[in-house]
Amino acid sequence: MTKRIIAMALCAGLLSVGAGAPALADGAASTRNIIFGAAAAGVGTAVVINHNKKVHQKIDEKDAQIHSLDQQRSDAETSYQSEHQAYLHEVAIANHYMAENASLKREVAGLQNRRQVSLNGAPGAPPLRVASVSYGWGRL
Amino acid sequence: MRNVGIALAGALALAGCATAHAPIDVADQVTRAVYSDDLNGTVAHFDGDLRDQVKTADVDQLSKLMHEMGSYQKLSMVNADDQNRRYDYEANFDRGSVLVQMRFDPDGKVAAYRISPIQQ
Repeated sequence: MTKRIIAMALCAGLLSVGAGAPALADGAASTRNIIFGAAAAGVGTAVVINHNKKVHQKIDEKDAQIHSLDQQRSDAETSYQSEHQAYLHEVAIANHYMAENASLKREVAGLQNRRQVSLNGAPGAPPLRVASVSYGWGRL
Repeated sequence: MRNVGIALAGALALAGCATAHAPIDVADQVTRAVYSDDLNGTVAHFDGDLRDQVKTADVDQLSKLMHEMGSYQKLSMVNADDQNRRYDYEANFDRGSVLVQMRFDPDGKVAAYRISPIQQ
């Protein structure tokens, strides 16, 4: 914005210099004025073009930044989805093992109850308190 | 004295091999053999698979465990499941007892022999 104002002031100054000259005009001065005017117009145009180029460059940079942020957000979402899927998979596996473990515990408890009943023997006989550890060979 | 007891138990175990086929007799023979730290007597009624699992050190360890409870006295039946060929016995010693659990294979050979200390 500041550059634009400077460029406009420069143009105006050059034009005013050129404009003040015609009172003393002769052929050489006219030619000089034309050259000055053309030069001023050229400089002004170059300044404006350069300014526009910088503005476009900034806009492009902003767009690239926004695009990069979008890409990062997309990557983050993809990563989150992937991690979430992995987490759900682990939860499913854990649930499966917990269910299996609970089933085994129920089975062991049932076996222990049955064994306790069988070990109680005759009614009134004191139950045998068998240690949970066993020694020997083979599976019963 | 201990050697005499061991020899007697071994002799009883060997003598019983020829005639005893009832589960309780087999259990008694195996238990006596283990108590006597007799590897051959221990595996005499075992099937092939179980025989392969038995090591001298195992028998020695179980024998020591039994000797900690004193002299072996007798075996009494706790549970018999003829259909599944599963039998539980209580082996009594001077100062304690163990639960002897056995499973037989269809050929009448011992497929599993395990003992668990019984808390007094």
